[in-house]
Amino acid sequence: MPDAATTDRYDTDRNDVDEEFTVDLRDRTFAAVFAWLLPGAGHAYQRRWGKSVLFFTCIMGTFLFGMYLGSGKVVYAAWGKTSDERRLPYLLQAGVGLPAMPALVQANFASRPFGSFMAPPRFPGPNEPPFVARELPDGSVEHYKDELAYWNLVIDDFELGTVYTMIAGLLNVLAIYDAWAGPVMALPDDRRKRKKDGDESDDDAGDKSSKKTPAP
Amino acid sequence: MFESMLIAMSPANLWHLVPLLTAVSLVYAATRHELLVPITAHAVRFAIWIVVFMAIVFGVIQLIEWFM
Repeated sequence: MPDAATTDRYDTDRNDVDEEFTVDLRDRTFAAVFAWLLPGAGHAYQRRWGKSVLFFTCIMGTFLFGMYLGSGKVVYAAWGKTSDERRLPYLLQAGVGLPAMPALVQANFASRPFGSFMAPPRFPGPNEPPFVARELPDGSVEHYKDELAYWNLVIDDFELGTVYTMIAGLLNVLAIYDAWAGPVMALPDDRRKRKKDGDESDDDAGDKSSKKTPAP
Repeated sequence: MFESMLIAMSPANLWHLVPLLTAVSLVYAATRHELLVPITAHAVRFAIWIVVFMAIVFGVIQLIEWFM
């Protein structure tokens, strides 16, 4: 017996909602996975082309703008022992799916197959000399505690770029939910008010079941 | 601390808000509606709400600075 969720259709034709539409969610699990892999891909799978373009443009635009602000250094994965060596923002950045996956490859292969792209910064060990950034024209060299300290110093918008890419990942979580369950409809004012008053128990239960009814 | 916050909010830095505000508003609105017109209308309302909320927070911070 197929999962009812795979044949769900999202029907809204009530008079008290100012939108009338039918959305075929198709296989919502696949849609959610696709939506995670590439922003908008889940909606393209569901043939919701407008929202697919919207999500892809907004989320990838935010992600790429963050990468631009951070000179391409803000998305990397690192799980070291110190707080500096742990890149917690990556947990959110990974929300955009495949576009952030090179960072995982870079973090887990010492050979760094993608070169410096999304590569984690170098952290010299306790008995190693500090990170040498570059040689200056006068022959002297710049030393920093580690490569991350160097990035924070020379990239003006390193933190801002990090925030942008994190928000892109979080926005894609919303898109994933939308691909899986359809849009979250707001209750009309009178219905919301009655629910707030606590006298809508039976009616509300019926309303919820009507939002996602199996296709006939 | 507040002075550094105000410096960080220079007009040049405020331009960074525009793409973020646009993206967040549109994506949030798109999770609440299916059709383009209500999505756009909701996004505009949500963007205004965010700007007003940030202005209120800015005003509160400014007031705190005056009284310190």
